[in-house]
Amino acid sequence: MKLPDLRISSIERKTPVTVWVNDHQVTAYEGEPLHAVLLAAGYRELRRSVSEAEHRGFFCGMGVCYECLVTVDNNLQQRACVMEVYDGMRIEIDGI
Amino acid sequence: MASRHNVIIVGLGLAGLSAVHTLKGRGLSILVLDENRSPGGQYIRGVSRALGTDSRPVRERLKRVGYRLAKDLDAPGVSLKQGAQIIGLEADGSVWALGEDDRIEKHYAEKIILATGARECFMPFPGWTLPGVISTGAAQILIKSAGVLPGRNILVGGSGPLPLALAGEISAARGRVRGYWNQATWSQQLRTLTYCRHHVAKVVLGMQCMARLFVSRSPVLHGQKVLEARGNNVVEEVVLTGMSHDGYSIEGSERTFTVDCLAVGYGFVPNLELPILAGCEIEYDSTKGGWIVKVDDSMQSSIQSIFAAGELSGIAGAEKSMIEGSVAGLTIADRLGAVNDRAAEQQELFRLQKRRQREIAFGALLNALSQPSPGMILELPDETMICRCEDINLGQIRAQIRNGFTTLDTIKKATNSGMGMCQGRTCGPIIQEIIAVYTKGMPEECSPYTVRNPVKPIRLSALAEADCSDHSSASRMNEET
Repeated sequence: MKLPDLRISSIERKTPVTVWVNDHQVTAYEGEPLHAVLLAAGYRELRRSVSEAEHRGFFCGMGVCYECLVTVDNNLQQRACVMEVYDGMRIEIDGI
Repeated sequence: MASRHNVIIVGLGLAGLSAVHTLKGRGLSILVLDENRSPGGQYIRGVSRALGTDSRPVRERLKRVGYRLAKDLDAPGVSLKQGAQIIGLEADGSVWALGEDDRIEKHYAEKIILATGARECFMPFPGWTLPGVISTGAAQILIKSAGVLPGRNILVGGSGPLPLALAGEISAARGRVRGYWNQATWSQQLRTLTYCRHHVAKVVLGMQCMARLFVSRSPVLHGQKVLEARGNNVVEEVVLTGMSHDGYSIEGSERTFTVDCLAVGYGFVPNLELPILAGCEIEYDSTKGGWIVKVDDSMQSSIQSIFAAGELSGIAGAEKSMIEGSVAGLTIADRLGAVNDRAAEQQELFRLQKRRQREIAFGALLNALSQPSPGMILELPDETMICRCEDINLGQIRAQIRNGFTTLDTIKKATNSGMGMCQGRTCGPIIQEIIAVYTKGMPEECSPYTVRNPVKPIRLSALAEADCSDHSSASRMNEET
């Protein structure tokens, strides 16, 4: 389910950048954390849990819990909540 | 080769920032290592400079102080590394840091100030692993530093003051708070308020948040817990229930909320991994939020070269952290013979220590409101997930407690809980509570997980490439991994 308009309008954003999520084009803004970009684009399930294959999304949002692991530019298991997006970033989300 | 300094400060929240402010301009070489991309820690979390400008005014006095302190990071003698994960620490003053470039660097200093802060703790419930169920801290960071609302219809709750602060922030950002609840009852909270005469500003802030909720007609509930969160792959519904003073649900008091986000938080636990690793003595004090680093009046730990400032020495909020950063800084300046004006600084130290006691007393009031009650654990179904990394549920942990395993480390060996990517940072405090409830023991009988190098998951290639030439402990570290 897509959640529109989650960006707070009183904040002026910098340059728009394009990132690719499972080969889908997503517009984000320079400096935004990756988990926020994914949330605003409607990607809330970010991985499956190791034995029950439950859907999981980001939880602690500050690099502690490792629930938001995604593949970024072919690097496995990157914490989305501690990464900033950049133009051309390629994100793979497995199992959604 | 190790870089050598007089002082290394680990963590750049308010404690770290005030330590830098106190130590700069004394001719000392200071290295500051911080895991985040920008200074300020979890409290300040302003809109990151990289993101853009925020037209919202900064209301909190402490945040303005924080922004001012951050300017000291440019002072001569201060070198700063953001995005550095500390993976090892030794009593002799050696620090191992993994940089953003995935390379391990070794640093050494005569004195180390640990200011690694705290993380949130949680009470599990069925469905707390669903996407859309997030921590109150995560919601705050999204709003404050990413400028993104965590959902369209948000339910906020838990224990302590943070859920209320968050509910106020969501309203201020024109998000929709579907409801707010707290585990403490009205009467418990009012009783706490009567002790807050020294902390009027904080009480006013809380009342402003409450007023916002009334204006937006969001339901405000007290003495509640989550019975269940449910949904198809993501959270869609949350059921709250009233609970008795010992945590058992009150039949017939259930309320169901349709939401796309549930933000929960149950207070804080200090990030004790580094002090435990170095061998600093820890102690249990429920008024200070549980397990903490044992420190003396000057913030020195049981190890002479290591100081602990901020939430590490007891959960009591931003003001205490700032005071303790200065106390540690002044003490270290004295020990290293870098005093500017001895009389004035001794007087300042005395004044700070008095203020520190007042903040600790305030923290004790809040920590009392965050205590979980036994029913909140005893009533949970076996299927409730406890270790999110390894998918270990409560039934598996209950079975091992029945088998006689009653320490965190033995439960870990028996179930694999705490063996995943987060290394027990999330499940550890929860399992400590579970053990305490089932053994009817005291929480102080159940110490935190044993900590080993490296304290964060790292690539083997980073370890293999690490320059280990100048210190015997480096090879020891490789063997342990």
